[in-house]
Formats: sequence, C-alpha cells, structure tokens
Amino acid sequence: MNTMKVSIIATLVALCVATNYALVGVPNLKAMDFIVFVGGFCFGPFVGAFIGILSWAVYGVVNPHGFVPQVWLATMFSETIYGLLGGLLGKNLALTNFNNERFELSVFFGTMGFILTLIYDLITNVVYASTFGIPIIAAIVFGAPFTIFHQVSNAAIFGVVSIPVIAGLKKFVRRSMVWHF
Amino acid sequence: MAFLRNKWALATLVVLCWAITASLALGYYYYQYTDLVDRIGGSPVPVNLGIDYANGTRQWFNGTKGATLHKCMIQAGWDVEVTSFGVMGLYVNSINGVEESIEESKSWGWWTWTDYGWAHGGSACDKYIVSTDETIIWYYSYVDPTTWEMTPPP
Repeated sequence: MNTMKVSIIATLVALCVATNYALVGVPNLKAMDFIVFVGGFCFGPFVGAFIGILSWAVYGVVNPHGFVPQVWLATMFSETIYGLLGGLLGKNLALTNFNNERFELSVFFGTMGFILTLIYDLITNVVYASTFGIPIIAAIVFGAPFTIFHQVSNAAIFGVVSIPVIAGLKKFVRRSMVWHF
Repeated sequence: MAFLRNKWALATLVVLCWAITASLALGYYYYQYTDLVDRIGGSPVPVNLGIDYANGTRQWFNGTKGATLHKCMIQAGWDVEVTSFGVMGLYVNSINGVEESIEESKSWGWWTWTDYGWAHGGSACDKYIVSTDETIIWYYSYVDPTTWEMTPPP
C-alpha cells in the first residue's frame, strides 16, 4: 500500500466520521455509506472495505447513540459491503464513459445504494434483535420506517452524487499522480 | 457494462426497490394496526344476534356488542366450544351444549341477513368483523354429504 493510498484512506475515514457526527441529529441519514462506496469504486474493494471498518472503529466506539459491542462489530463488518461492491463495480465500469450513460448509471447507482442498504439494515437488525432477545421479524418490522428512510436517502445520494464525485475524484487522482512523478 | 443498456433490466431494479419499500411499509402498518386493535380490544358495535336450533327454537340477542362475531357470541353469554385452525380461525363444534353431529350430518353455520335473504358467512367467526346493526344468525343446519351445501335458515 503506497503513501497516496494511505492518505486517501485516512482522508475518507476522517470524512466519514466527521459527516456522521455532523448528521447525528438525523437518524439514518448518513454520507458514510456513500463515501465508503466511492472509496471502493475508485481505489478497489479492499480499500473500500478498509475505509468502512476504520470509520466504524472510530465512530462506533465514541457513538452518541451508545456502545454495544455486538452491534458495533456487526455494523463495522456490514459497512464493508459498500466498499466491496463499490470496488467490484469500479473494476467492471472502468471503461464506461460516464457522459454517454449518465442517466442509466445514476439509476443503477441509486438502486445499488438501495439494495446494499437493505442488506446492511437486515444484518444489523438481526444482530440487534439477537443481542437484546427481540424476535427478529418484530425488529425488522418495527424498524421499517428507519430502514425505508435509510434506503431511500441512500438511493437518492448514490443516484445523484455518485457520477460527479467519482468523475471528480478520478480526475484529481490522475492529476496528483502526474504531479507526483 | 452491457447490462446498463438494457432499459428493462434497470426498470426491473427500480420496481424491485419499490416492491421492497412497499412490503416493508405494509408489514409495519399491519403490525401497528393489529397491535392497536389488540390494545383497544377492537371496536365493539351492536348487532342483532340470533340462534336457531332447528327444532323450532329461535332466540334473539339484539344489541349484543362485539368487534368480531365470536366476541359477540361470548358477549351474549353463549357456551361456545371451538377448535382452532390457526390463521384460518375458529371452527365452532358446539353452541350451548348442542354439538355437531356427523351421523345426522348436522353442524353449526352462521348466516347474515341481506336484501336477498340469508347469506352464508364466508369466514371463521373470529375472523369476521361485524357491522353496526347487522343481523346474524347461527343455524344448526343439515349439510348435504355429497355437495357440503348447508341448508339456510327458514
């Protein structure tokens, strides 16, 4: 792992933690999931997953909503799915021209944000229910409003912001590398 | 990515997301509704409840209040024996000591009064939500063993 990758990981982790604290008053509206996804998309699945784990390692321990080790571990490792899938998509879409298929890609990223959030929420709800001895179905159903809000907000963020951010980030990295060498 | 050029695939993904959201919302509101109904014990309304033993005895319990037909029967003070079939509901085996008879092919069935006469109740008594001032009768009917058709009350 070179210096540049380390600094990018550190910057994105800091961004995740900062935006999480900034948005602490709005339950389930988070920029972190998107940042982890973009990190994976631009720098590979393992970098993405690592950003997710490190972000939760910091934010989860000093969490204003409380600290429960089982839930913390579940969120930490569930967050990696954004980075992993972002990385896999990044490899598959490396040759795609974002300007030609802007609408299709936006819809695709939006639905990916939705589905990944569904998986993330399902895993964390199951762990939460098991930890506190609540029936799993009840935990999922009674948490539905939060789940829906999380999914819809992530779908909107992924759909609208992905293309400009990825395009900008790629341009920035390319320019930095030229400058570096 | 060739997948992106397929408009139907993208539309399917969007519909899938919508279906998941709608299902979650449906589950949430269903649980909220059943929880509310359980807490307030339904919304009892008065009905005209009758029982006909098919031996010339017919009794009416007008103004009996309940949310479901089964609750109305209990409210009327009837001695009801039932078998539970889970989500299908309760099957009535006996009312006020009069049991169904396989030998005579007679069993209890409930009927509701309509503009066209008595209409057979389509569901288990604990699943049927009664309407205000509805007229319902339990009739100890003869059941045709070949067609399973119940004889309506006279």
